Amino acid sequence: MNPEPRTEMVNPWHVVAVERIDPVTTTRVMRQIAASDGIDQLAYREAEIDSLWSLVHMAVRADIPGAAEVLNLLWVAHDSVADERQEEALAALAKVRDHPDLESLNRDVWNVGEQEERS
Amino acid sequence: MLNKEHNDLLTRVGRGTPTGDLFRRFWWPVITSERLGGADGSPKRMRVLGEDLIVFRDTEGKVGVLQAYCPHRRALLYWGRNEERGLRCAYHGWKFDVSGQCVDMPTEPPDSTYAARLATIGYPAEEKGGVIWVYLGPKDKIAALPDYEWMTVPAENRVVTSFIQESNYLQALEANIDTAHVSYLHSYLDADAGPQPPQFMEGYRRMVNGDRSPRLTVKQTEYGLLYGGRRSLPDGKYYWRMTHWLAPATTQLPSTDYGNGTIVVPMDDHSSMSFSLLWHKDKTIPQSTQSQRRGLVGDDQGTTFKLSDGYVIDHPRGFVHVDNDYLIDRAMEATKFIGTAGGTAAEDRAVTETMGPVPDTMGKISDRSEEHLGVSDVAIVAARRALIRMVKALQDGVEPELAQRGDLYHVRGADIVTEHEDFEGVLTDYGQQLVTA
Repeated sequence: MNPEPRTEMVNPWHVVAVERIDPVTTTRVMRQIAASDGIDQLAYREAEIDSLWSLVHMAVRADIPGAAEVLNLLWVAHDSVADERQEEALAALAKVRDHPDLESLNRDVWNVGEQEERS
Repeated sequence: MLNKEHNDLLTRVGRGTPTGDLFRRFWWPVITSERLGGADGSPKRMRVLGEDLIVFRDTEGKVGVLQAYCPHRRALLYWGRNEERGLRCAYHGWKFDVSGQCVDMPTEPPDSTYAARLATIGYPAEEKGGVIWVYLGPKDKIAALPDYEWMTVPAENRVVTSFIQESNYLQALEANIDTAHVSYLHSYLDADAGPQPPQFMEGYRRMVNGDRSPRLTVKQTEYGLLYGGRRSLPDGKYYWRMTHWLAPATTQLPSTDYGNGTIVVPMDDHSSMSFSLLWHKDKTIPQSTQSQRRGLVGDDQGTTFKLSDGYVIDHPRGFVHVDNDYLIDRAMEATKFIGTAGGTAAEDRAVTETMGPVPDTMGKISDRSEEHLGVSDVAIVAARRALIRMVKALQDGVEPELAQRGDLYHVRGADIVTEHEDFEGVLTDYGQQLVTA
């Protein structure tokens, strides 16, 4: 079971290093959102979701199954954070975090698949 | 990124658009006093927020900014005669004063009072800081003129130049809110080989080349936002570049003794004009300094430029532009990051005028729904959101308070070397450098 976002001991000025789209990274972003208040901090959250979106957009371009659905959820999270609707953003990100295809959207995973297919 | 709806919202500035309505709550520079010239001089064709304008200075030196077309038969007033306290249309001789009031209608019967009852659209205009300003919004909501420091210094202590940006205004504005790009686009491979910009701290090039991934901190303010870009230095100190974005489209860039700013004026959805400002509170600045720095000096400048829909404005295009590939010289890239000619302005224009466009926008509006941003773009993210909030507030009937608060423009950028790692510490110790009297 994935951990729920916690607000204790979270520094809202910290920026999550988004290098993969996976439950751990998504949960970290969710914790930051839950701890963030005000438009300055939410600008960082939007930038973090931008990065998640970018990773998934690469998967959409590569026609990876499930990518389009996750991208739509990230659009919702992105625009919700931008409008200071953190609860809606968290709900969308929870669906991202729990999405069954999430790990397969990472480039290193589908590159491996492509390489295996070629060999 | 921005979704398509928000990208469209922010980039459309014509009359009746939400952002166009917001922008009409503010004063905009339309032309420099120098370019307009003296009394009874040639009228100038300009465009601001999609409005075609004629700017002229009458016999008494008063400035008029009128709708460009004669209300009689819609002839372009540019062809008119500027004489005896008014602009007389070349077609039938109808004459208008600086307010737009018709003061002579020679083709009508001599006893007609029609002239007194007819006016063209004349916009409120002011001349201050070496710039002609125009207000295009509702008369009952007229804004306060922004009270910038550069407008109050002696004329010989400032240089105001203007240049055309052949893209939507937002691309130009965002370049001014992006400190990360100075480590690349405006850099020399050997930092010591590049010229020292007068407004930046000595050693600026070494500092921005030495740390090419600045950490950004953003703080929303009453006027827009302040952000600091922090770069690490070899001695353990930090180089902070502090930039203000003042809504709607001004940036006060990092500087030391000098003030340094840019106002991006949307001419229409596809073109804009930047007013570049360099000033010093106490020192005279040679008028050539800014032009040379911005690369605005060159051959083949001409006097006019045809906008994408065919309307001509009285402003030179500049000697580097998209049609000559900004005179890019790949051999120059042995020393300079980008081999374009024309200085920093052309470097910015090369990358921002040719961004991946939204279809059917003549290639002039960037498609932000296809962007892939990083954390170094957080100031741009924050500025876009602030602007969207202002636009939506006005749609909900909330007027922008900033438009009535010229005093909120009392800020200036700064570049600072300090031991402070944190933004708040910099503000505590150096905050006075960021405000003006």
